[in-house]
Formats: sequence, structure tokens, C-alpha cells
Amino acid sequence: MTRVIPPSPIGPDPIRRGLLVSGATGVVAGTLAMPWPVPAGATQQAALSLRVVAPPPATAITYDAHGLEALGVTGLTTAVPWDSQPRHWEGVTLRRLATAVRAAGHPLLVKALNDYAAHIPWSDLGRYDPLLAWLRDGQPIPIRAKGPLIVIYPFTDRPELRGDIYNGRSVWHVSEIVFE
Amino acid sequence: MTEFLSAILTGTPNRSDNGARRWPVVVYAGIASLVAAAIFVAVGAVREIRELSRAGTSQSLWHVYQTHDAVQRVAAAAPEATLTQAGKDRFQTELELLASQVVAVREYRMLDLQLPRHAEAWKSIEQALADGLRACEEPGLLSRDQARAQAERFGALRSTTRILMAAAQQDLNTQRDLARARLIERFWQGAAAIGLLVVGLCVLLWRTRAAQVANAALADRLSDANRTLEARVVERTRDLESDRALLATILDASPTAVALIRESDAAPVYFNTRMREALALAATPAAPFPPARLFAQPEIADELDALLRDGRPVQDREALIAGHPPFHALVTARRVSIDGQPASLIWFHDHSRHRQLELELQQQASTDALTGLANRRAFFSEGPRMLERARRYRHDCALLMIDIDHFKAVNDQFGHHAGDRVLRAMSDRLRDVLRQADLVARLGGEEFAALMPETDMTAALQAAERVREICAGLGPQLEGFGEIGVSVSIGVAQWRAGETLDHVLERADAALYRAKRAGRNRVESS
Repeated sequence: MTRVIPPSPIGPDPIRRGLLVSGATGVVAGTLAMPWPVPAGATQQAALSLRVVAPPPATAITYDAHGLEALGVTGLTTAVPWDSQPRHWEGVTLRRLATAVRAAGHPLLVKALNDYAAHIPWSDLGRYDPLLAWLRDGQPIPIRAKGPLIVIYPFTDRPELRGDIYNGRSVWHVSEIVFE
Repeated sequence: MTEFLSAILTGTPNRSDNGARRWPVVVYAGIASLVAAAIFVAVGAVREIRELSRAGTSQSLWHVYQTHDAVQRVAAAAPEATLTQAGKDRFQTELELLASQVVAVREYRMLDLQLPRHAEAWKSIEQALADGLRACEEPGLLSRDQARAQAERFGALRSTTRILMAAAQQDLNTQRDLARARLIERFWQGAAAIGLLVVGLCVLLWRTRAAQVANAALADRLSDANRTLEARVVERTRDLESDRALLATILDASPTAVALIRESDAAPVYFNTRMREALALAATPAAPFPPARLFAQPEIADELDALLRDGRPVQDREALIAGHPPFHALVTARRVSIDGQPASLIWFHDHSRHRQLELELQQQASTDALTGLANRRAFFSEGPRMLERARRYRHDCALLMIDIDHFKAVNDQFGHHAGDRVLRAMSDRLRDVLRQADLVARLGGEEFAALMPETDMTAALQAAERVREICAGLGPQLEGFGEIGVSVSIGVAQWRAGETLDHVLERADAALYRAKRAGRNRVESS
């Protein structure tokens, strides 16, 4: 199963200006503007794949897009810290994923494609019910926009989530989740 | 300056020329500077809190490090892109990850500080990224030369990203130093403001304490003054009451009756004991008591009233008081002012006993003590008046001169006491026989006279004869005098108009002398 990531619609000029003029860049995430030319219709095809390691004695399971959708898709509209605009995110809640692999109550270690990793305590799942999202405003999320899988907390509804702790737990480029 | 200080510390305001209370300017200045300091510190604190609450401020270094790592991973993945499609895909994924990292770096405004200074470095990274992605877009695997070029290019970029890391670290250090310096500055400002506040609080407490002490002293003095005043009032009240009591005692003990009556509504202000006794009142009456009610004669009441209203005093006016029973008294009255209102002060002295005595004296002076008949003096004062009336009305008038025969012999034989009894018996007979209107008097010794108005000679002779007869029969009726023959000789004279009493007496006396010479116990006329 592969998905085609649509081409970025914006050219290089605004970004160059942003790079050169101090203070004028602001938050530009989401526009996915890049300084290099992107040919239309052809780009990296990212296969949606998530490896889940359930606690012993279970073994590792690899979910593709269908498998993740089968767990039940949940929507969440919120503005994340690196993007001032509220966006609609869709994906599976981590709690549902944990239930699916019989790992309820276990803390999570979420790993990323770039070998970043963050621990998420089980209490977060009960309290904030974070989402493992792969759709942003109905579109798949490119790697360049921190995709294909991102952990999204309800930042807008829960102001106490502002800060480095939950920034750090909002893992981008998620590739693997280990229930410990 | 010392005055200002003392004013602030003791809480005493300066007194300006026009007398108004004014606090020294330094107090206002102090308050203003305290407020300004507090605002300044608060604004600084808020700014600092905002700065601290900004998320991601410490992540610039982390993101530059991540970029460095991503560049290294791209360089490591490049050789595999020549071998398999999976290797190429992995190279491409690493390029995308680097791209997302470059985007993320620019999402954090903290990096703006270093981006201009290292714009060339970032540009070279982005250029390499763009070239790499373009190379991947071509179908098929990368050629060995391409892969080597990519590996070398990204390998060389590692030194660039190392420099960026060092710059980020230095930026971070600079920011920390600045933040620390700012914090120290803010701390000193806050400490100064707190110090000022503490000083202000101390001054306030000091002044409050001073004011309390002053108030307490003032209250003590006030209560002392109150006590002294109260004691004086009590003393004065006692004096006044004892004065009043003394006055009341004197007035109540006085034989003079005293009444004080307000003019406007006739309210009795004070009646002393004597007054209450005279009017048979148990106490000073509560109901209005006009002064006129004091007097039995309305005309006297009116007269007194008129005099008092004119403001003229009344002195020793004789009046009949409406007592029980009514009595004569000497009334003195005057207008006085009681509590600012006019009032009548009336006092009177019971005059009735004095008057009685006077009457008695008068009677005694005109009466013969032994017989109760008029005496010689009364006869000679009343006699001429009777003759005057007879002359005025052209009436007759007659005079009898009566003398007891041998009275000296009675006295000698039986004593003066017996003589007195004869004289008294004689007098009784004369009163019985003669009329009320006749003036009967004992002129001296055994000699009597009777002046009879409206009586002519005939009637006078008849009366004289009756007197002689009754007196002749007197002897046997006197106990112990049975053997004594008592008789009278009488001379009668008819008054002639214009004749004096002495003249008539002379003629009657002459007739009496004839009767005596003619053998006594007989009546002779002139």
C-alpha cells in the first residue's frame, strides 16, 4: 500500500526572503514551502507503516494504512505549537491502539524515522487521549511536514499542555511504538 | 529638613500661613515614588514571566543538532542509493527528514538570531538538499559518481553544521547571560521597591503609634477635666440645694405668708407654709391660682392687680384675706422675674389679732372698767357729736345727772367692795331702763350722766322718775345689804339749741344740787 503525496504548491521565493530577513519568517510550517524546485506530479512516495511492539509475550506487529484505519479513525481539531492555525487531524487514538494490542496500562516508547524517541506515560492516554494522526485537513502528511505519522495532543482544548514536555512527546515521523 | 523629618515621624502636619493643614511635599513625593517603583517592578516581572513562558526557547540548539545529525545520515545513506531501490528510497527518506528539520528550524523564531549571520551556511544546506532531491527524481538508481558526490557534499556539510551548532550554543550562552543579568537587575529593582515599601510601612506604623499615644494622653486629660468638672458641678448643686433648702426653711418658718404666682398663666410657683395654712391648702396648688383668689374683697384684688401690672409695688395695704375664716392682713406685693418670666410676689402679715387688740384698747379707753358704761372721756368725746346731730336735725335732747345718795356712808360701813357692787348694780339698772341710743356714762365716783337724743323735758322727767324708782328698790335686792337704803338724786336739764355740753351739764348739776338739798331720792329739773 502506497500513497501519493501531493506536490507542494508554493515556490521558493517567499522562503528565500524569509531566510534572509530576520524576524520576518514567523511560523511557516504547514505551507511546506521549500527553497528548492519541486517537479510537479513526481515526488517521494511514502508508504504508511507502523511497527508496534506489544509487551511480552506478544510479538511485534506491523500496521499499514488499512490496518490502522481498521482500528477506528478519530478526528481532533487543534493548533499545534509549531503551527498557529488550527487544523483537523485524523488518526487512531493511542489508547485504542494499546487496547488493540492488549497493552492497556503500559507506558509507551514512541520512536521516529530519524531515531528520535520519547516516552509517553499511560496516564497521558487516560487524561488527554492523544491521537496518532496520518491525515491533516483530510490530506496525508508528507515527511517534510513531520509526517507520515504524528502524535497530536489536544493543545487547544488543554492549555496546560503548552510547554516543552508535551512538545517533546508530540513525536514526528513516528515509525515504531513500543509498549514497555 | 529636620522639620520635615519630624513632621513625617511624629505625624504632625506643617501649618501653613493660612492655617490649613498640609502634609509636606516629601510625603506626596514618597508615595508617588513608591507607586512608580511598584508599577516599574510589576511591569518588569510580567515581561520576564512572558519571556520564561515562551515554549521552545531552549530548543534551537537541539534543532541545529538534529540538522547536523540529519546531514550526517544523508551522507551515510548516499552510497546505498547506487545499490538497491530500497537504498535509494532510504536516501530519499533521509533527504525528506532533513528537509523537515530545516523547516522546523525556521519554525522556531529563536533561530532568527543566528540565521542572518549564517545565512550562507543555511543556503548551502538547502542547496545541497535541493540537488539531492532532484537527483532522486530521476528514474533508476543513482550512479556511483552521483552517490559519491552526494556523500562527499553532505559529508562536507557536517563541518558547516558543526559551526552552526557552536554558534547556536554561543547564542544560547549569550541569551542565558543576558537573562541572568536581567534577572539580577530585576531582583535589585524588586529589592529596592520592597525596601521602600518597608520604610514607608515603618513610617506609617510610627505615625500611627505616635497618634495613638497622643490620643491616649488627650483622652486622659479630657477624662481628668471631666472628673473635675463633674465634682464641681456636684459641689455647686449641693450648695445650691442647701441654699434652697435653707431659704425654704426660713420662708416656711416665717410668720408672714408668701405666695409667688407667675403672671402669664397664674401658675403657683411657691406658697410657703404660713400661706398654705391661711388658705387651708395641703400643698402648693398645681392648678392656676390667680392672685385675686387671695382676697375676700374683689375691689382690693382689682386694685392690687392694676398696681402690679403697672409695675408699682404695694406696701402694707390692709385687706381682708379669703382664708378659712377670712382675716385682716397687711399685704405687700411686687412684680419680680422668675426664670425670665414676670411673676407676682405677694406676702401678707396676719393683722386680725393686732386689730382685735386695737379694738379692745379703744373700748378700754372709752369704757369705765368697773361698770362697763362709757367713761368720762367717752362721754365728753361722744356727747358733743350727739348734740351736733340734734342741732343738725332739729331734734330735742335731754341730760340726766344721777348721783347715789349717801354713797360715802355705804363705803365706810361695808367697804369699797360693797360700794363697787352697788355701782355695778346701779349701772345694770340704768342700762335696763334707758334706751340703746342714750349715752350713759359714769363720770366719776358715784356720779352718772345720761344724754338722751330725741327726748323732750316731759319724756326726760319720766325716764328720770323711772330711774329713781328702780334705784330706790335696789337696796333690798342686794344680798347682805338689806338694811341699807340706797337711793339716787337726779337733775334733769333740757338742751337748748346752740348750748354746749358743759353748759347743759352745769344746769343739770344745779338741778341735782337742788334735789340733794331738798332731801335726796328725788328728781329736780332746771
